[in-house]
Amino acid sequence: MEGRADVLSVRELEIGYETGRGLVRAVRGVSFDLGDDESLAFIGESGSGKTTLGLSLVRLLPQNASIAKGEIAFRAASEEVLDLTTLDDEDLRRFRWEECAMVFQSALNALNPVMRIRDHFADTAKDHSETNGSLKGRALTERATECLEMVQLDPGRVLGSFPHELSGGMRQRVMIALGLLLNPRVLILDEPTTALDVLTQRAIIEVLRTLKVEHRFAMIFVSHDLSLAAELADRVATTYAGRIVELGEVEQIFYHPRHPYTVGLLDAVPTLAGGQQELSSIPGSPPDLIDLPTGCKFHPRCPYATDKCREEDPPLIEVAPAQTAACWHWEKVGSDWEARGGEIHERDANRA
Amino acid sequence: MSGTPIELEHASRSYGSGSQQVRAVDDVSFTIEPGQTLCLVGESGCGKSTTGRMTAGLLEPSQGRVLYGEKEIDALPDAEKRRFRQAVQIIHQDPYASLNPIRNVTQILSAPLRRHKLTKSRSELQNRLRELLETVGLTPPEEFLKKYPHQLSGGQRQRVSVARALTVDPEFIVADEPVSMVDVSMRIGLLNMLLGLQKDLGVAFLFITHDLAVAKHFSWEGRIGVMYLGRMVELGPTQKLVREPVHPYTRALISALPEADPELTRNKERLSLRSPDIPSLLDLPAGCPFHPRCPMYEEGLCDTDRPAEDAVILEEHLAACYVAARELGQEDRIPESSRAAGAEAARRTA
Ligand SMILES: Nc1ncnc2c1ncn2[C@@H]1O[C@H](COP(=O)(O)OP(=O)(O)OP(=O)(O)O)[C@@H](O)[C@H]1O
Ligand SMILES: Nc1ncnc2c1ncn2[C@@H]1O[C@H](COP(=O)(O)OP(=O)(O)O)[C@@H](O)[C@H]1O
Ligand code: SF4
Ligand code: SF4
Ligand SMILES: [Mg+2]
Ligand SMILES: [Mg+2]
Repeated sequence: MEGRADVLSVRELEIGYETGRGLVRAVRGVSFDLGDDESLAFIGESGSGKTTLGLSLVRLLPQNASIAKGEIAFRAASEEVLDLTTLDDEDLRRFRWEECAMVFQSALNALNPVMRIRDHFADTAKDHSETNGSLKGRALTERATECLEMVQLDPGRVLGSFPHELSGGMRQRVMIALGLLLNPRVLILDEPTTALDVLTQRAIIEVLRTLKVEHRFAMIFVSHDLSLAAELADRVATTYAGRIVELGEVEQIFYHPRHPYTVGLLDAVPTLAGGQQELSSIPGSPPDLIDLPTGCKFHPRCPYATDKCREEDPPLIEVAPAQTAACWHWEKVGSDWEARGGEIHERDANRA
Repeated sequence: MSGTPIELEHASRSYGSGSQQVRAVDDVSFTIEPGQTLCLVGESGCGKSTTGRMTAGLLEPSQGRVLYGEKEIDALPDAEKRRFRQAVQIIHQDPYASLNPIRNVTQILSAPLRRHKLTKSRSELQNRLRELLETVGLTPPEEFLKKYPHQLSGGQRQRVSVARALTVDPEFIVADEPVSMVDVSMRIGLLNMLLGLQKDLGVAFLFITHDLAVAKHFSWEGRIGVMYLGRMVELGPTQKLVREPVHPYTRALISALPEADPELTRNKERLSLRSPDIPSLLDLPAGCPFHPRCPMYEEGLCDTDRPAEDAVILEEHLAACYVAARELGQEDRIPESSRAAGAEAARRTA
């Protein structure tokens, strides 16, 4: 995109898992760019390949996974462009945490139960002692304190605690603070608010908002929760069966979707504001990634499907400036959605 | 509508003993009439499941009573107890733990049918199983009949739990987070199916969820009860409670909830809490249990006595808050000791 430096560019990425049953095609032909102060959300149901994509960006894929194809180009702080798919171990270690940090989905269990939080920080810093020789002792404590304050935790109380002495929301924030330790440029967060209570979710969202607005981190969120994207994303990618099926600015995706799957998701999520809503599920269930349907992978569940859809997989088509959708019938989908606009506005009017 | 009301009367339940004893549910009362829905919401650990299990007769209250009709469940004569066991079903929160791993779907679903002698022949049984699986959206049924729980996804297991609850044509279902494991795109389908049971068959529900938006969708015509640290802090008709919440905790929950609409959620008014941390049940604050976090806290008034669940009464709508009571002109419902402590604190700071 013009006028913005991209920190990350992913092209035609394909990732598969080798399993006894066959090859699981978890990521298929994914391409996107991330601006250096941008937040991008990937939304989609479980099993759509979101975690796999996140893991590939920090090269932490499990043993049985392999990148079959594609390119992940990262522009480091030094302006040097790294190809992540070919990075050697040494560079990789430096890259992780210093350039790009990931906060994992199961963050609640990711902390070592017998280690104090202080030692978790020391551990993360230790791996990087060659490049961050100074991050020891006082300097380390200072930086850890700063990071904990950024996530609104009291360092005096938290540093000396064991994980079990902290609530779920506090542990999640500790994980984010650990991610910040070496001041990375990109933060990847996998389901950062899933399984947390509403008030705790709110605290995490506000922390992430501060990181985004005040500290200008580039962020990638991966979640099945649309409201997280609505809160924090600049752009949203809807993913289905391992692929981006729609990508656009957050307002485009929520207010002017052009892919039937995005429409289906929006129609399936209740809001608290407003009156009673007509909500419906998307019929059927997501496909088996080992044995994908022909043509458009969404066709067995799609109300718009035609013969063409069953035969040919649609490419991402530009449907508006900065918005793309992988659907042969996006114009019809769009005009139906906009025709319902009146009904949706009525719903908004009720939101007093 | 036929059926029998279920009532919790000042029910409490403690776990543990000695200094480790916690009151997971403390003095909770409500009645659910036949065909009615009550949704319980609140943060993890606030006592929703414990309340649900007492209501379904699976857990005895340590104090107070659970009534089926006029009678206490434990005092029901055998025949009526059998009727209760059939009429009242529970869908457990954790479908991993509640389905026997060595039984397949056919065995899981046919056990209650046999126990209550609800099908007369093999073919009738087979038809009923098929019908049940179709009702919960596990289609085609043949694909699922022979499967064991470990061969199903979390969402599918939850559907099997729902199907099992439906085997005996219950009149009352306690549904404990029945859709939490189901994918977003399919969640509403399962909810709408349960709503259909309510509308078409008049099944009553105690529906437990931590998601207020789901509660609103499920009990639009019913009520919502908000629990905090084992107590019911607000209970009222859904539409009123969502639009005009009375208790500061309910207001905090509503204002904190992220919504799937960028403009709405980014411009929503936020209530900030005095503290983000929920106190431990082992060390409850004096007076109102919400006071260390409450944005409306007033010294003296809020940390002396514990507001009763009906400190505020607005027709069918109750809330446990003294400040709200005063602001709604119900000062007479505040105990003298709290009023005096509040006045004293005000004098000191003046
Ligand atoms: N069998 C038990 N033994 C001891 N403590 C228990 C037991 N069951 C529940 N508790 C405690 O009682 C309190 C209430 O638990 P309960 O399961 O009712 O909460 P909940 O509101 O359903 O929470 P969640 O939203 O996490 O399901 C918690 O502090 C819990 O740890
Ligand atoms: N280690 C693994 N081995 C084999 N298959 C896997 C592994 N991890 C994930 N998968 C499969 O890859 C697909 C995508 O999974 P994942 O990336 O975790 O999706 P999401 O995060 O969107 O839920 C799923 O079909 C999942 O079962
Ligand atoms: S290409 Fe066809 S099947 Fe795929 S989403 Fe569009 S209309 Fe539906
Ligand atoms: S009684 Fe006081 S502390 Fe408790 S909820 Fe009401 S205002 Fe808040
Ligand atoms: Mg995931
Ligand atoms: Mg529970």
